[in-house]
Amino acid sequence: MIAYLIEASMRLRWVVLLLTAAVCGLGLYSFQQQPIDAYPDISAQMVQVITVYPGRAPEEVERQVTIPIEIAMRTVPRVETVRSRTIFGLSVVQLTFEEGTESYWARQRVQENLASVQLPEGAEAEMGPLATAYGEVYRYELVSDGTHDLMELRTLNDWVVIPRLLRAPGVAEVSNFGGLEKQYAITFRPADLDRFGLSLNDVVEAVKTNNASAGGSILQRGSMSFVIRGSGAIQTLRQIEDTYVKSVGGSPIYLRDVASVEVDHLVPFGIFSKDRVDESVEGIVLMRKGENPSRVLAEVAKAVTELNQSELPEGVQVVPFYDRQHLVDATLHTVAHSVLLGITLVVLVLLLFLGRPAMAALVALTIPFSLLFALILMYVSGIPIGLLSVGAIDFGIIVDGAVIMAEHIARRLGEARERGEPHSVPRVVLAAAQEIERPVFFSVLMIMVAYLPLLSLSSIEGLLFRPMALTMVFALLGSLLFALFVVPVLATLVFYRGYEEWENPLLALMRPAYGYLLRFLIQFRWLVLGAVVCALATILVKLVPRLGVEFLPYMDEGVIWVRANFPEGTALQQSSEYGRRIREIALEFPDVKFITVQTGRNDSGTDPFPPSRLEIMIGPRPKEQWTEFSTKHELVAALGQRLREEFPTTRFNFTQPIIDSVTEDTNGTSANLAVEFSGAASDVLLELANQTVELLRTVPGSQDVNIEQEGPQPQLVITPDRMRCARHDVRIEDVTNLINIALGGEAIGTLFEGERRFDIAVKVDRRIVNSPLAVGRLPVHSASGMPIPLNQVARIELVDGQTIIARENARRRITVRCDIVGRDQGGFVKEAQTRFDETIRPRMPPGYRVAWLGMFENLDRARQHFLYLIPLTAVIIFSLLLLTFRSFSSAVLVVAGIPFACIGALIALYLRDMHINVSTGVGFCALFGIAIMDGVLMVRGINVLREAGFELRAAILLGAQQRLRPILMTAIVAIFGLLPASLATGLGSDVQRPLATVIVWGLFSAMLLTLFVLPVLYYLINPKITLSELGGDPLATH
Amino acid sequence: MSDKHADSAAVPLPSPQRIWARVWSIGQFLLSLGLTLAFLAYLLFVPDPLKPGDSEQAAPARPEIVSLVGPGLIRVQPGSPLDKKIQVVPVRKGTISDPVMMVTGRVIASLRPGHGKKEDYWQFDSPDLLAAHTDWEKAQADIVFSETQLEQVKQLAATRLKAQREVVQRMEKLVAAGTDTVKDLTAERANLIQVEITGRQEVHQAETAVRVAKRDEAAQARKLQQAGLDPELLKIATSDMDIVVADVPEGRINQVRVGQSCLATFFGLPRERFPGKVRSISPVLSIERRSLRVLFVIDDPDDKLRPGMFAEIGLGTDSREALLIPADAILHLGRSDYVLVAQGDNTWAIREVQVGEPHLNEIEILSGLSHEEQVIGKGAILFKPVVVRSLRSSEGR
Repeated sequence: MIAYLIEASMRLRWVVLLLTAAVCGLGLYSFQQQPIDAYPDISAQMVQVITVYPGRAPEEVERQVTIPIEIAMRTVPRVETVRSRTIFGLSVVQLTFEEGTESYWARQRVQENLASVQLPEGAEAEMGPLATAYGEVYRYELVSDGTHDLMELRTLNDWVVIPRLLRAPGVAEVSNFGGLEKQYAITFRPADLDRFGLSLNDVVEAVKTNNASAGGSILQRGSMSFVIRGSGAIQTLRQIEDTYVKSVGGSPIYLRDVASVEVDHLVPFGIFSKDRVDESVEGIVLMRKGENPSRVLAEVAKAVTELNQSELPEGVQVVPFYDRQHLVDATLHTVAHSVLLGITLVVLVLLLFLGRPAMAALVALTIPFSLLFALILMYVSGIPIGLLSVGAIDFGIIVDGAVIMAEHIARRLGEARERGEPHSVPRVVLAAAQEIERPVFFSVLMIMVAYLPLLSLSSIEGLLFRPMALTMVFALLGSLLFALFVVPVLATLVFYRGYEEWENPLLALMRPAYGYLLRFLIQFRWLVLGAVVCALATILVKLVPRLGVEFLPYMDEGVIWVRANFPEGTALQQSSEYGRRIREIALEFPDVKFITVQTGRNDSGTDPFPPSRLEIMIGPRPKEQWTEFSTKHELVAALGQRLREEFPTTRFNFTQPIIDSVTEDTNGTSANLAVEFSGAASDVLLELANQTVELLRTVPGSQDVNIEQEGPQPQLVITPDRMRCARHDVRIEDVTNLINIALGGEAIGTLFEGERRFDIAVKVDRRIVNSPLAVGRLPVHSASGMPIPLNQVARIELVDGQTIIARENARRRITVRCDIVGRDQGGFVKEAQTRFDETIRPRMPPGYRVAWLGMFENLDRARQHFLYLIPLTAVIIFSLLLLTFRSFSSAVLVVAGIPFACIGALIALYLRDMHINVSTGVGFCALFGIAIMDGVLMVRGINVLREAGFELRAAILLGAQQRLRPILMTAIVAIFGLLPASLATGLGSDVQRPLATVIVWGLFSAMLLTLFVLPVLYYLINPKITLSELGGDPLATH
Repeated sequence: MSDKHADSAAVPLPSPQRIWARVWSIGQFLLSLGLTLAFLAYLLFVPDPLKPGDSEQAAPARPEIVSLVGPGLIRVQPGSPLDKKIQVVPVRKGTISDPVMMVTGRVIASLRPGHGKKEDYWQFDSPDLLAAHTDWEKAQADIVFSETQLEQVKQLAATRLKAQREVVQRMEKLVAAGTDTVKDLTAERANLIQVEITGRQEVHQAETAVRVAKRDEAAQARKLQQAGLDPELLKIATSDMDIVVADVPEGRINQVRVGQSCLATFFGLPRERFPGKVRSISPVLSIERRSLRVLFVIDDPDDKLRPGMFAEIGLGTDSREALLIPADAILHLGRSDYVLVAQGDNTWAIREVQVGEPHLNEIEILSGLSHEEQVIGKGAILFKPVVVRSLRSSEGR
């Protein structure tokens, strides 16, 4: 079939060339349309339900909001997990869907169920944005030259900047952090109301009933009609002051007579600080899931330029400090650098081995064609261009098929020229191509097959490496098409005058020496075998246990993300003050460019954090400007040491923004290891967690062991006493109104300033409410209007209540998190689990469950998967080899390349101090398919000579020498193709480096051992030779 | 290359080279097998001086900057950043005159100075009060009148009696002298009895009038009290004082006593403070308001206050000594408050305290600390996790 197609392509050469050009054109078009990103979006499919229930304690919010929503969401299909976090005034319920669930479908299902939930008055539920934690692509600060205060900046951010940014295509949400949200406050003292016999309800009612507009239909006059409009809405502060409250002795009492009306601000939820500025305003741009980051960022940049040039007032600017485009650009630079260097090295090697620039160029053309072909299929299948797709292509492997095809064609042309046969070039080329098409097909197929099992990877590792596997398969497919159909066509054009074969003189010198060495090795064959077995055993027994195990390699995102948890109950301002000290410390490091501190939470509710929590972003300078440290790890270690010395009782976690948010959303925690307890009673859970904290702290390698959820914090609990309320003729509603409105500052109306709207709130003067006793003195009015002190109708106590209530799948949960340093994760977890099973598990009460999670969970899952995957890959390859060789011993000989390759890969990992992780696992799978090619070449070469009648030893020696050049060429080309990636240290090279290291060094050892040990093994095993039924060996290249 | 099939061709007797090759092969096999097995045994059974993972030691444990050194005892490493950050303050003994409670009230009565011949006169904040006061004064006047009447009636009765007795004595003398008849004497004696009876009757009536007037006065006084004014207070008030009334909630009554100092701020005079004293506490609780009416006498030497003026009154402003520490020093855990008290050598003891009212940035300590002890002020919150651990371990014990 393929032979027929080759013949057809030779007949329709110009059609082939046109199609090739079309593919290239389409590929270029796809490149322009394709999203480009540093890393693929590995966040799970999620929908958040965010409910704001102002002023309520977490227990209250949990009971009235979180649990009803969780119950309603139970029937949503395809949901894997339902997690929730409840803090003061806020509930966030997060549904994680099965992989592959479509975003809008998931949101639609949630919306349907949400409609049926009965929430208390004042609670407003809405779905979170169609974005994931990965979508935080841009952060900016609104900077003033001193002419605008925090409230003005916040107002500008809310009403000018954010609306403009939301219009940028692909932006899902823009959150504000920090600043002071403007409101109109009616501040009263109870004594002032008492003067006129007024109650809080009177004031509230006055504002509500005096703030309304009306529509009165149409008034007709002759041929004209007039729209009737009643304009009674409050629009100025003066109008609030002039609000009529009641009449006393015929004299109207206005609001200004009983309260002060002023422009005030809401109690802030969070404080944003940057460098030496203590309070500022931040905006966080979230990209919609599935969008092209580069395109979205370009639109955002355009919007920012517009804002800065014309829409913002003088002295105010939007200044970005985090732009994902830098990471994308840096990663692309790393990828492009590695790829171009790889291609250059490949071409250089081809030149060195083939000697003819035309031949080298012919082969090298495979690379752009395969790449463009792969881009088309990537575009169709939605795979973005990035580090782990295009960046993971080994162009040395890609050219293999073309090398075999081109070399064979060249040899046949050379032989024809030597014989002086007057055959036309096209005919020779066609014959050569048809001879070699099966070996080419099988060799590429073998490599493709090795990548296919990687498509079964799931979850985070699947999201990371499936694109890589698919891209590689696409590129290999493209290279196969090029090798089979385009190379012959181009060869007729390039070598129309014929071809004279050339051999590198160095190779000519090496060949006899190689033959001599091989004779020596065959002579001491058993010792050689013993040495190989010992080497393998040494590696397995001594080296492999020393290799650490982790889930993912460290993926450098450029910036450092630090979480700091100060003691529960620390006030927002105090936490921010400590944040200032943290900023001072960080800025003492010359390699740090900027630092931002977010104290508390944002206003959108997507991050339910208490005031004692800080999230810190530290931006290092460009690497070339560093003066103090040489690696980011050193900088992080030094920062960590300083901060922990400064605040030894504070919990710090050093991580990175993307991986932190993504894994937290996916696994519920971003820690290396999390021990999660779930059950009914919070105090039991807390006790179990405390015991586990003590235990984990004693396990070597643990760092920052603490309970993930903040502990209890003091609460002033006001509980109406129903009996006393009845005795005083006070309604519970009046008590709750006093708490909500006067203390909580709940909005009771809206004031419109043009397009902008601000809340009107009534609140008691904070200067007189400065203690629990003072709160108790506040008057609540009875039905007859008598003021009764609150402490006469309610119990007021200062007790500890929950800061945050975390739940998963309808059970309360508490998580002990732990980072692991200086040690492999697998070993640490094993030790910790052993100790836990001995000491704590036996004492766990019934009904309480424990789960070991975190990144470790991913590691466990990946380990299980690879335990099947790697043998499966080996079995598939072996099966293919059996099919092609039809000889068990030949297949075994070829498969010996796999342990040969493992030797080099494992030694390289050990020497480079790298751990075994998913990236290396993928590298091993890919390596197996590539490493056996050398073995195939060697065994095939020897078999052909034995079929021709050569005795064993002679066939081995001659065959090995004949195969020296192709083995060296294919192996070195493959090695050099990924060598830059294995040595790269730039931003974005972290995931690629282990994979490339395994392939490069594995191929190197496979090449050496194939050249020197495989012939010896062949001699010892002495496989039986069988011919294929088709009358030709599919892999024969002679 | 010659076409030879060495393996399949029939071979006659082996040559010495072949024998040697075979011996060499077998010997090599045995040698390599032995060496390999020995090496494998060494790998598997000889203990590894460097265990896996030993080469990657965790970072050496750094000395703890803050640690528990005993039950309820925390030690901070001297010279550490934490040690430099915390603020150590002494427990201060201060004099505070902050009110123990704040109530709202108003001026209900003011004694206005008279001019010239005009006497001082009362002004009230409401017609009801004025009417009650007037009725009460009238009732008082009635008492005076009735008493005066009684005196005079008594005098009259006594005079009449005396006069009649004299008449009878004279008649007796005249009868004894025979100038008058016994009948006349008897008639005068009868008149004497009549005078006695009439006199007693009139005195009784006058006394009754006095009692009625007094009862009426008492009733009017109670009415005045019900209207919010203590009549006794009116008697002792002077023109440089004003009477202010306020309602104290039922639950705080125990904090009020007569003679307690107070400080009033009036809505119309926000920058001035007027001292005063509690003079009277109503005996009856207001059913509707569930509060007790308290009357204060406020000093008003400049006569700035007027009846009806609204006031915020701080009660219990008598100076008292109190122990004060910064509010930052208090750690609230569970249902209790704790502070960290210096024990020397950078060691701090966790101590439970009772806290009172805040005073500016300080808090009153009711119990648990003594004067001149040192506590951690600013920065105490950073010790909360350690305190929690300490309390947990004490509970565990």
